[in-house]
Amino acid sequence: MKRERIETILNELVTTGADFAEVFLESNSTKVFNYIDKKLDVLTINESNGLGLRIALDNQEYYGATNDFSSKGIKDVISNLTKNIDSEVKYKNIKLNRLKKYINDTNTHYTDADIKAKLASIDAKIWPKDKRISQVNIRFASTLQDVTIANQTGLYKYENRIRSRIFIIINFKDDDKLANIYYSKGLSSSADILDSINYDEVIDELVKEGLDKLYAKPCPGGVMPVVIGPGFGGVIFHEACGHAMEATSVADGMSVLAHDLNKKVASEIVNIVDDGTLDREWGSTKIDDEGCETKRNILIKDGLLVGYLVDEINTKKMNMSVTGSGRRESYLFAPTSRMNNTYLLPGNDSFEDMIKSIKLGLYAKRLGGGQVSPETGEFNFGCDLAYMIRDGKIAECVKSASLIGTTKEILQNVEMISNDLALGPGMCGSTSGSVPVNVGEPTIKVSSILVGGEQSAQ
Amino acid sequence: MHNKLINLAKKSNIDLEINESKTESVDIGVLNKQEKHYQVTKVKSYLIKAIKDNKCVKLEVESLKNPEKIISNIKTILDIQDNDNKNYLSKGNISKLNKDKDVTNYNKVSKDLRNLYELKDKYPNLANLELEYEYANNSITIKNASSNLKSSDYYHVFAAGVSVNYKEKSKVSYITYFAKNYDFNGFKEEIITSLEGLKYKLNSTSLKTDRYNIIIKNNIVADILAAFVSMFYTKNIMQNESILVDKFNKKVFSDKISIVEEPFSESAIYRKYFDTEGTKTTTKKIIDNGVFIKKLNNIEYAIKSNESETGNASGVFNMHIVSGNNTYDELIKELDNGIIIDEAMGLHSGIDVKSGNISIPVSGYLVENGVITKGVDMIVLSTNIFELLSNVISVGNDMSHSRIDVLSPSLLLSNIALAGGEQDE
Repeated sequence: MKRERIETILNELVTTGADFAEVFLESNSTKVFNYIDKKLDVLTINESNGLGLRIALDNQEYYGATNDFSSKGIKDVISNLTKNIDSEVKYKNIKLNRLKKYINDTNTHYTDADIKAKLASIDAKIWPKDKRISQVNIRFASTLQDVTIANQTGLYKYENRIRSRIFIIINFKDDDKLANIYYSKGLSSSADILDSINYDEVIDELVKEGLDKLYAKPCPGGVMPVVIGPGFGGVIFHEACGHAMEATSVADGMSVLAHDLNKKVASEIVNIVDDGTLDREWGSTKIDDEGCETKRNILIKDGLLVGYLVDEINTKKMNMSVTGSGRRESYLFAPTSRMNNTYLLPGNDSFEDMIKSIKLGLYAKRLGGGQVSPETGEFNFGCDLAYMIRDGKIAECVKSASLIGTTKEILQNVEMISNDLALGPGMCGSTSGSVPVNVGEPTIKVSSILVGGEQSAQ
Repeated sequence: MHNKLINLAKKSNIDLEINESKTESVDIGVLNKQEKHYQVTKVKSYLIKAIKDNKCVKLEVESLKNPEKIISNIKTILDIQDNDNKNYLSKGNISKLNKDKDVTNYNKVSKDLRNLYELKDKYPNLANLELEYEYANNSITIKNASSNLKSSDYYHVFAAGVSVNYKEKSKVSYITYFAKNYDFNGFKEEIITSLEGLKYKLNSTSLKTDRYNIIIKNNIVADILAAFVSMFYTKNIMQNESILVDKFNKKVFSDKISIVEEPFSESAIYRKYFDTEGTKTTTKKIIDNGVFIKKLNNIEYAIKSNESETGNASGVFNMHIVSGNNTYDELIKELDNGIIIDEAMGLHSGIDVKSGNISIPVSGYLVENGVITKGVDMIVLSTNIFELLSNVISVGNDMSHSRIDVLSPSLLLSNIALAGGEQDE
């Protein structure tokens, strides 16, 4: 869309007297390879292209989303938005700045045929590993997203974004026992990500862990100490406090941490950061979806809550600066403050000392996803792979372990932190849709969490 | 533009049809007495099905303005995809255009939602009422030389986050309520029921880890069942991705459980007459008194399994556990002593559809001598879908309103594990 047309749209939006007006243009192309049953079962190529118009006036937000770029289509959306605003008509003459472009490298040496061959070679390595493997599914997806953002201040920016992610999922079966295990890696990168993985190592570990899960015993339930593995284990902080630090819930006082700025909310050894600038990481972008450059935001320092994640609309409510955290799934959603790459900083404790210190507890080697109620701080997450700890040693594999707690309890109960920080990719769902995020942590020990299980812990 | 694309495809010996979907929606958000956001959405999207030499390709696009690129993408996929996925274009004529006779007055909607905060007069512990309303209308057209299929339908949906405070404690309850019409009073009743329940929940405690008789409320059963819908699909059974492999025509659940799909029933909130491939949807029984009798498929897997098409290429609509005879209150009396579960979190991470295992945090009430006495929270439901739908004592008659794809009445179950934080004495 040409600059002049964007200016015309913005000028129409501000006649409402709005103190904020924005145009968001997006085009998106996603390619997904699904390799199953020892063949490339499906390749899909999906494309979308749309426009989001936003007005904010007196703490209220109006949003219109369409993929009809005709004059009539856009006029229709503007008229639908503005008819609900009853204020004096004001005229401005918005002129956009020079377009500032943020360019990411999208080049790759992989053709589609190369990608298929790569998935085939991974598949061929897995099947011979064990007769109990009942299915192998390898999915590779790559997304190209171009965004252009303009607002009433004259801001006019563009970024081309690329993300790629691979999933390797192995199913196991022995009589009526079923289990599955997966590996995932995602980066803001082209298909070259496929060259960055040691597949032999990954596959051997997956098969070992999958067979452990196949014969896993029911998890005992109750309150107990838990050691949580690195990488995706960081979902504990994403759920426990990340959402509660988003302006989305803080600004209206709907977060359990809304009134805790500069207060001690965590153990002194806890330091949490959200960083949208990490080079090529899954949750990174150069600008957020409001056109603000992303930042490294320190959220908790030495146990003190020192920051929130703030988007454009909530700056006024909170009297705080934007943090480059305004994100949305697509043009279909208005943006709001969201996480990027959220992780716990490393410590100095050793994994061995953590295990030795526990008489009866759980080693949650891999976590699944989770969920939180920001207003009460109650959260939960599922364990994808867990083992009991008995008398200072890792013992039997257990299934269906689920960990639940409250934000403030879990932050205070972090007792030990190792130095093996890793990040794990995921998708986070909230009011502005589903966005790619990294979660991360080193291995940690939490002194007590409620563990879901089928019988009392013994 | 449709004809340009179809004709261009013909030149490459590709048969092609275009499924055009138009969605229009209005969404209003209110927090307490203030309107927070208003969103209007108008989008058109196309699902293109292309067939050449017994291979089929499907693409989703939002514009047909570049037909050459679309054909190029189709050819790329045809070259590289291994799957011999025979398919065919849709046939027949259907025209089912359900139009909303009422015109929604969005100013009234906003006012109704904002006025709900007056409930604080009767429920002084009410802290926040975060409300959302959406009206959505979707129309679909599929055209090719042998078919002319058109359908449209609409729904209203309300959602609420109801939070209460008392001294240092706070509790939140979430409601989603779908309706065919602007059933604001039905939604208000749901909020009042929630507020009555939250009085107990402010005094919630955990439980001892043990097995209990429980009632799972209709909306929670619907959410759990929805997570497992893929287990009924022929594709997943053939690819060893379903827990129902080798279980066809076998008893898998209690004989009190029958599951049907009625996509265009008069009682359905949102009706579906054909799927995204143009196959007519059908009323069908999937589970009959506990026995798995019908697999779901699309054209590709109907051909591969030599079964008739079921019209489920785009999922399920109005699939539900068949109602029983007991009201919710009667279930509570029958429970006598046990737990009611009416809230659940983290289903996307706590449900493993490939093993059937369920481990999700839940909350609800303690029932003693047939009466609710207090709230319970910080507990985890630990079970498996087979156990959940086998240990059925009674089925309620209170069909849920929280989804339009999968619905359920409340279920009274025996001997289900709940993990809690209370220790043995």
